[in-house]
Amino acid sequence: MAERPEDLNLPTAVVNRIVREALPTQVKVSKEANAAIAKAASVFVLYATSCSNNVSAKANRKTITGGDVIAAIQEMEFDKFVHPLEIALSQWKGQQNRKKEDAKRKKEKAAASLGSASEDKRTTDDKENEEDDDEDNDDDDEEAQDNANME
Amino acid sequence: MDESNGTGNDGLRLPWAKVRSIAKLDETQLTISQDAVFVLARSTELFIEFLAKVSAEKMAQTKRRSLGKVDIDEAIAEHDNLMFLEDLIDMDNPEILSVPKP
Repeated sequence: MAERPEDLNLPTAVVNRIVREALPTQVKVSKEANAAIAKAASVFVLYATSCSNNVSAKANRKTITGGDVIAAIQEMEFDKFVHPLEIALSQWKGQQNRKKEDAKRKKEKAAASLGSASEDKRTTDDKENEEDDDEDNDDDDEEAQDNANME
Repeated sequence: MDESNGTGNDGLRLPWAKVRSIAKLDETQLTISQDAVFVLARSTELFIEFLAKVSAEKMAQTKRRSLGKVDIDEAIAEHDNLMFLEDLIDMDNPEILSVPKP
């Protein structure tokens, strides 16, 4: 399936919001300007990816890391972005770790409560099993008699 | 409308998946980690803010109060780190051609 050019664009509503938040409220933004900024942003992603790729490749690594992207941004002469990006990355990593720990704790808790739930089940099941066993015993007796009769 | 001030999406406003799919168009690309996608998305947001601001500076030098394509073109022509966007400039615009390079 051929990809239409529009599919490479970032959502214009989101771009527009970022643009408006960056500018004083009285400044209006024409549709063409917004479209041009959205397009420029897509080109930026491609360019930054390509530069990041080079950074990883030079270090003989096969995976592009967050640090590689930051280094690429610096090479692209957007020095002012470097510090805010380092902070954002470190905060995000912290959040990811917390999420993993939370998930782990939830999993452990769920496993523990499953354990106690199955104990409860056993006490009621035991009674049912006793009744079943009685029935089974009756069948066994019948079977034994049948077998005896057959011989 | 999303009212979360971007706090839902890992603090980002731009959508992850979209940034990732644009990045994956690079044919020579190696594997891209999650944190790399995060930094790419955040950098792009900073870039959008930067481009908007420098374009608004060009607009401020005229009497207009509405940001137009011409302001973006002029900002691209003026800033070295925006050279990668020069193909987007409308070269038929006489104002662009007269912008002196620093």
